[in-house]
Amino acid sequence: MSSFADESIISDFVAESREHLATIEPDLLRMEQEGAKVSSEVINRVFRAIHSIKGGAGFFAFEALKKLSHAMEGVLMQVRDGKLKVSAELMDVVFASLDRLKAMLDDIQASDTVPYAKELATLEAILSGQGLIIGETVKGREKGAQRDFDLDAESVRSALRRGMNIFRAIAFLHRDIRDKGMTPLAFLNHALSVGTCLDAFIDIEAIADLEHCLDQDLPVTLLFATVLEPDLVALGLKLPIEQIKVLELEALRKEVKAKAKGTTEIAVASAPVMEAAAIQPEVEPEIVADAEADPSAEGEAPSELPTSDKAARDMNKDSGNETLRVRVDLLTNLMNLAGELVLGRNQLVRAVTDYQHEIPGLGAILQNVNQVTTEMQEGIMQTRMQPIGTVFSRFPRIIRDMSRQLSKQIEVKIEGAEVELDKSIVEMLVDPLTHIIRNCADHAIETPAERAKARKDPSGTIHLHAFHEGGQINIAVHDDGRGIDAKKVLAKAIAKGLVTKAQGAEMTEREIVHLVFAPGFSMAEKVSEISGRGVGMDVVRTNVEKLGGHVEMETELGMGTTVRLRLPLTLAIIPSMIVGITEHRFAIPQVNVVEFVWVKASEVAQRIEQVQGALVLRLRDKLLPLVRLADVLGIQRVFTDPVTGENVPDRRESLADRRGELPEEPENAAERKGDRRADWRSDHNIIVLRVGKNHYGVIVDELFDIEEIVVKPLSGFIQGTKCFSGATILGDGRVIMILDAGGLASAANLHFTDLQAEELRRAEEEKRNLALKASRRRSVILFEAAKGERFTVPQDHVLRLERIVKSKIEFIGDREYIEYRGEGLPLVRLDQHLEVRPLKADLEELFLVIPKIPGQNSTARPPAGILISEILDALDVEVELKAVEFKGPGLLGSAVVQEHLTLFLDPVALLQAAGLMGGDTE
Amino acid sequence: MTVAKSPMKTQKADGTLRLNPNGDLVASTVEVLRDSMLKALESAKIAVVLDLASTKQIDSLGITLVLGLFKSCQKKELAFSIEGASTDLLRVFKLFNLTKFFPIAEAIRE
Repeated sequence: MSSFADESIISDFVAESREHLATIEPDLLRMEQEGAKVSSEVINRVFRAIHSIKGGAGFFAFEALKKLSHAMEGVLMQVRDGKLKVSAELMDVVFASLDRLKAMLDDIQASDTVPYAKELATLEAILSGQGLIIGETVKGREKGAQRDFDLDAESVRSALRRGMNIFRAIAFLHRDIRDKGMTPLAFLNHALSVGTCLDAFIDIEAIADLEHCLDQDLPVTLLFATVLEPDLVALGLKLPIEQIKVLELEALRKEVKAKAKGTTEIAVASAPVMEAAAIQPEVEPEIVADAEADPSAEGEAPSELPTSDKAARDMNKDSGNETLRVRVDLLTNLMNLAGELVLGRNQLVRAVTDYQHEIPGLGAILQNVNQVTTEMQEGIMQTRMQPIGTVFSRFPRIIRDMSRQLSKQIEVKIEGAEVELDKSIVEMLVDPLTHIIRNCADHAIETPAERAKARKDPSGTIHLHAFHEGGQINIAVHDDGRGIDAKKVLAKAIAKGLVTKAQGAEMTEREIVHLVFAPGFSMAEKVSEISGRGVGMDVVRTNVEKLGGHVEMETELGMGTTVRLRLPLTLAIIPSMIVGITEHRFAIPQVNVVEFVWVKASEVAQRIEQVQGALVLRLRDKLLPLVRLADVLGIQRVFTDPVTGENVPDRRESLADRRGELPEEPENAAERKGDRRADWRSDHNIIVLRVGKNHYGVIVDELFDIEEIVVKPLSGFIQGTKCFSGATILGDGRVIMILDAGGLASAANLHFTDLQAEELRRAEEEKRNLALKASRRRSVILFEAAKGERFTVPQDHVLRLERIVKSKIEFIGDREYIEYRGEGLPLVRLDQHLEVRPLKADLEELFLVIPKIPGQNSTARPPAGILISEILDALDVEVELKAVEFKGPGLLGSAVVQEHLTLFLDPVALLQAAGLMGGDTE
Repeated sequence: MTVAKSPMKTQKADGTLRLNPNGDLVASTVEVLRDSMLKALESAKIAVVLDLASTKQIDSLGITLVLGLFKSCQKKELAFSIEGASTDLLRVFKLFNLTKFFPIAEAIRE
């Protein structure tokens, strides 16, 4: 390794190499997906990147880095020249080598201590034309009666960070695998569905020679990580509980920490696996240093995130543009200073505003300082913004590896990778998103066979989409998998005691599905094989909420699930609404504020009401739950006594209750006399806040300005207070709390679903009323038959009204006809069917009502016409029909129209009674 | 699978014994194969190569047989390796980490 090389040059080399590695990973995935069809440009790009790393490593004499990249380059050259075909197995080796290169770059000075012999041997075997050889020679690998597990430190670190337990499970080849009808491959695949296999081995020492081997039942020892408890692991693996043992995590943790910098490989010695059936669970596995580890290497505690991931995120993606590398701590410091500057600006403006008129030019100076401060703060914030793509880009690789392990076909689609978020948020999103993505691949996406059975494309899709909406960043993770069965979720939640049966019965499907976010739900989910997600989703929600965000889930059984995260753009400086209760001030982040509503005292009774004991505001036909901020925070409400001028406790329970005597206001005293509701002090300021999809109103005493506030984290002893998300300093130097909209709703015990149900009930009632009203409103033709006897028929039941001359009526038997459109149209007289008077015989001119038959088109021959004496009007009436004393066909009832009693007829029913409907109707 | 008259082809060249079972390494075949292997092993000098090009499946007994063969090779100080393993077989060997004990070469796929 170079001792003379300038540190900064090496640092640049490392940064550039990391950029190369980050850019070639997607290209490698493409190579695997497209196989022989992949463009030479992609292969060349990968080749050039590895070649650059090799060149730099050679120059600085980083031997391990040089050798491994050289071998990778050789293999890629063969692929480029068409001498080697791309296969999943080949890519396994290339990806494994890539991970080793990343590990070397993470601590370049200790890069030679990173174990890479296995990858190098495999690459060299490929280069020498031996095909894909995996494994090493026996020599020197066995360590007496003890067998070491070889673990990748990163795998252990990742498992520990996710709160997984690490287990040693022993399965006997015959007793536990063959006798249960499984092949070894099926058993291993099954084990992989229960947890992540860190290592596995068959104890070579326990094996006899060829002659006697078949009589032996060999034990296979698995070391794997999972969130499940031992009893559930035993159940999942179908092994007796005594064959499962949890490893001591603390020891593992120390080991991983101690070796975080020195090496990426550790070894955990298991208890010696003795003869078959001689299991010794009481022997605690011992942790020993790996022979390859450098004992002198000083360990630095690992950061919360894998260093390679951090490295990837620290990269500047726009390497082709004009860029300058800046240390992150420098930016963080600048960010803090900008925050302080904003506070100082606010204080300055507050302090000197009153002097603006006295000091010439002060106003302009203040404006300038104000603007420059804002722009500078925005500029510095911009430097910390990172595209979400830096997180997204890791998922294709994770999914690729998981697809191979789970024998599934999964495609990852990424949209909106360029959307930018504050660096701190991007970093904290890694874990929740990884969790969600792993759940998608593991549980949501079905196997190709299952998908084919469900008539789906054998290849599942996970769609990651980031976009701006309402001043927030939205990240949606959608899968087209099996969805979540709400019934099963509810059954499991009841079984776990998370909800009672009675509570469950009242829950909406959405609420039930959201139970997967409840702590403690995940393990049951996994073992009971409920389709969909659930493992550790409470961790996802907690992490997202810590960021001031919100998580929601939508699912459709058989179709897929979408998990949506809503996040603030930045956590450092946020515009906020300052509100007041008595002398207290609070900040509400503007991102949560939807609107302000001012309810005048005189409107309180109409607009604010109680639903199931809770206050609600009627706002644009919606019911908005209300909370009184003072009550939620336990602050005594006060009001100024109009008589004494003192502040006295406000003990009103109901908002509609009025305060005491009003002071006289001569100019409108007459108006208000006897009406205390006109008192402006009873008006209500309501801020409508958004929590996910739900809105609610907060009643405050006063609304002040919107200020850019610098978020200061809460001290440890008040961090558990769910109503507050942080603190800030106002322009006047006052320290105030920042309200957490979600926490406030939760503290006020708001039940959005109750209101939604009430809204639904009211909407339905409204609909019924409208329908009823509509049923009373009729468009009718008003006519007379005999003089003074009035009738109506609905306009939409009338095809035509015709004027006829009595002499044109002809008879066939007793039936009357008239020629209508070249055919004989039968005529009906009302008095023949109803108890009404006949038409006057001396009328020469008559009218015909030709009914419209439902389902018959307008050109069809009408079945008959109804003879009447006079058409009076065509009008809309709103009446309630009353029953008439006599019955008759088609008689709907009677009502008073234009001050006359009028009979309402259904002409079609009348013709039916006259036997004239024939087969003409459709 | 049914075992043919000869359950396994054997080849010797330069001190290397090449064993090529004619079918799967499963309960129904392992005993016959073991007997053939025991016999063939007597003439091995330097190395033994188990060629699994004709083997598609392996069960618990098959794995035991492979390990027994490996163990006998160790005792006789013969180098042991596997060649021509199918993807499924390779996956089993990899998951059991047998690749740590002896080299395993995958079948060259077209």
